[in-house]
Amino acid sequence: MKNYLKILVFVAVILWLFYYMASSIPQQASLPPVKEQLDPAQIKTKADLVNVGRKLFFGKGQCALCHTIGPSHGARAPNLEGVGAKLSREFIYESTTQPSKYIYMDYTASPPKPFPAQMPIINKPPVDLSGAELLAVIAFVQSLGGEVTVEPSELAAFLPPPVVKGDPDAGRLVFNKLECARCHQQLASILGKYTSKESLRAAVVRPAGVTAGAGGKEGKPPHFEFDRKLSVKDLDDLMAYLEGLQPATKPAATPAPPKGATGA
Amino acid sequence: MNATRTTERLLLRGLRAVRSGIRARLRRGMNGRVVPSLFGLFCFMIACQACLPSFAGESASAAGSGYRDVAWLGSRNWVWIAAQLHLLFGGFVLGVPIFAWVCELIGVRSGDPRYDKLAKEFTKLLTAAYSTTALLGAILLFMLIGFYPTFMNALSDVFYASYFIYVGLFLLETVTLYLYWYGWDMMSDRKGLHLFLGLLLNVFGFLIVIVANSWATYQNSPVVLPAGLSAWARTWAAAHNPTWWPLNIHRLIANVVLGGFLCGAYAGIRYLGAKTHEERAHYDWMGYIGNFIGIFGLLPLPFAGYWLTMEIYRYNQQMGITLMGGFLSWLFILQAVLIGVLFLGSNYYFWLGLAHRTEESQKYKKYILGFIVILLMCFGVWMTPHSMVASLQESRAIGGTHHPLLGVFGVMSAKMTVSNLMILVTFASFLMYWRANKIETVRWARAARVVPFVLISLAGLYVIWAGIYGYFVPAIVRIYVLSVSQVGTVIGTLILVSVLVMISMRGAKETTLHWGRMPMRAAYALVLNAIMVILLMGLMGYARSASRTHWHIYGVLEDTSPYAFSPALGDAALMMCSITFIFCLFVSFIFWVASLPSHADGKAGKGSLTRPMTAEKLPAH
Repeated sequence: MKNYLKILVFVAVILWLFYYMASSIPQQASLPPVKEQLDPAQIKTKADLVNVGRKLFFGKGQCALCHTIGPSHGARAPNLEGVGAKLSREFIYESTTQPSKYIYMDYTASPPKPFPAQMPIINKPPVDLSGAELLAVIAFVQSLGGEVTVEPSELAAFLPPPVVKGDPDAGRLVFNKLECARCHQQLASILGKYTSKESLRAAVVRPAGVTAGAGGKEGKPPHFEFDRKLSVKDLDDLMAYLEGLQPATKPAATPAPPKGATGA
Repeated sequence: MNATRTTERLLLRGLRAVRSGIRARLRRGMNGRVVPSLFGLFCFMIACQACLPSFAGESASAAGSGYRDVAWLGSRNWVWIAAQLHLLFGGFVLGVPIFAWVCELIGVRSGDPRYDKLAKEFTKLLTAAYSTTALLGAILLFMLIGFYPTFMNALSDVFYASYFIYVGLFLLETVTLYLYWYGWDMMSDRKGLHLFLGLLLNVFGFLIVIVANSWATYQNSPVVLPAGLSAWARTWAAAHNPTWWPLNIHRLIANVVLGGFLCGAYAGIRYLGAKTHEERAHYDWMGYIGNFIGIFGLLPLPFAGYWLTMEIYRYNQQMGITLMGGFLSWLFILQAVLIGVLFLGSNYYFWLGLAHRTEESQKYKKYILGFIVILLMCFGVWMTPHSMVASLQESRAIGGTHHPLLGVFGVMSAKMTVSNLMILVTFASFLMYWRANKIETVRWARAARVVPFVLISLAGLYVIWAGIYGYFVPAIVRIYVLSVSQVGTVIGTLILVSVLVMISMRGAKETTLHWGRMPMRAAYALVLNAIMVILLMGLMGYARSASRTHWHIYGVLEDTSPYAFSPALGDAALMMCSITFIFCLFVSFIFWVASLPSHADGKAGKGSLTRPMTAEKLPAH
């Protein structure tokens, strides 16, 4: 038993030394990436786009794990300094989404052999950049010595489709039950004055603040404070019905990635 | 109030079960009856954990989010403990049968019954460890189902069919183990059949581990599973992923290493407690065999690791960079230290053997000194980090994060070179020991002494040249040409020299080896080696898991739990050290139980099973 105890003490000392050494080297935990949603509506200029792309390049995209901008001792992949002047937008797109489509030849070997890239496909897991994020990265790479040809307006194609919370059919029943049509005969023209869902909703529930037309007979809208009188579901249904009656102003948001090159 | 009573009941039940398990063992002898004791310990631990204050935040049972949590350590850490303990015991019960079977085979081939006794003694340890492994596996499974239901559901969707194979293999292995152990004496005159059973035991063990490996490797390198596959085809497609076979081979070799060094540690502990010279001689010899088998596995292990890492890079370069160049890069400095100590410890044990067991040990001093210098230099290069920990002023003073001289040693070319050199030096140490008590009688005896030295030296020179040349070629050439040629050269040299020495030893005259003369520090060196291997297994398990970053299944199923992060190395080391210590306690308990005289021993006379060999009857190796 005495020997067992001696051995256990010996083991404990070794383990403590290992723990001490492991605690003495640089400590870095690997945290999951922060879920940041790119909001195309916030990107107004090309400079904004490039800034977002830079952030993605060094963050979520993990491009800087291998690529450097400028010569570096630790570079594992091509130095991207000045590539904006050399590569087309289509080529950059293809290189990120189909890294091995264009095969380089390794001329250090004799005879030269194909040298496929080992880069991950960045619009697939685990990196999984969205279409808008991919455009921002392309803009950033273009800015490295070249002209940025990606327009902020192109991001509109990646805006999420409007979320319809309510049921328009049920909303029509609410509309009829409240007898709204008794006052609002020219409904389409009234609805056309509201440019956003938020303003329309505010006009329904708090008309005194944002009313766009005349009040009721007593100078006060009869549906005053509908948010207190209607259930949440009834209000959502009503809004869905009214939004359906609004003149169409927005195009359908169909993501359309930039055209890729055909490659070698 | 009810909770307190439940806790008290659990505590009492746990203590009673521990006590009754030990009493039963003492009464009847120990043959796989460790389960009651361990069950009791488990109850006791659960009860203790319920008594302690929570520091993992609120307990939760949010099955809807795909996770459940528990207080105190948190679900992830409990799974970590159970998984690592299960893997360590798994390594033990897979490595020891290989060790025992090889010893038994040597015994049959050489006609020396002492090898057979050695094999039987270790198989006795196996029966106790086997039930503990199964128990820990069940605990791990319950924890995974309870804490990670969504993940287990996803894994079961893919690997459902493999569960049947696993269960079938487990049953076969259990039956084979019992037949192998309980039939040892009965089949003493039918050794061929017994060896066949041992072989089957190892085959089933290997098949079990590769089934489990398929689950683990699919998490790291999942493949695309086309729709419409049958359950069996789906399982096979997922199992046959890029890192499956590299891990299978790596774990197989690592299990041999673990088995060898744990047996060495067992011998070391028994050596310390030996009362007579005969006992000391027996356990000295046993320690030598354990260390030899550990070293035998250790030599090719870095190559298997290199293959696995290369496949990880091929599968996903980003994962490879996270592993070797990202936040886990410092882990490889720790790995270098552990492997370096392991090499030094193993060589030290050989050198002690040369100094204390052989005649004319003085003549080896100069060689040993040379080996120490080479090993320490290699150790230094291996543990040189790629970038230095330095303040801004210090970085400016050395001209950047890379030291102008030491920075050269931080890259892979240098690491590959020194690891190959350390393998060559260790082989040379072994070779020296192997030949220490023999005088060749073949006509070409002089050539037999010179040629191995020349071959090893030439291999060393080539390894150094390839390492230096590696700085001047693209990485692709270094990885696929130079490193592979270094490995090929070293393995080729090891095989060639071994064959050459074996042939030259035929009919050699042997002088006496003095077993039982080793100093106490030799026993501690054996224990140190075992601890290094256990820590290495824990460390590299953490590396494999952390390389997936925040994914349960890389790129397929994201970890969205509060534990979707990999802790820093200091925190991870605390876990590894704690688990290693718990494992040592478990193993010590098993060693102690195995050392108790059994009922049969009492009848047959003291030491019939573990009777030490007399020094004069001991074999040379």
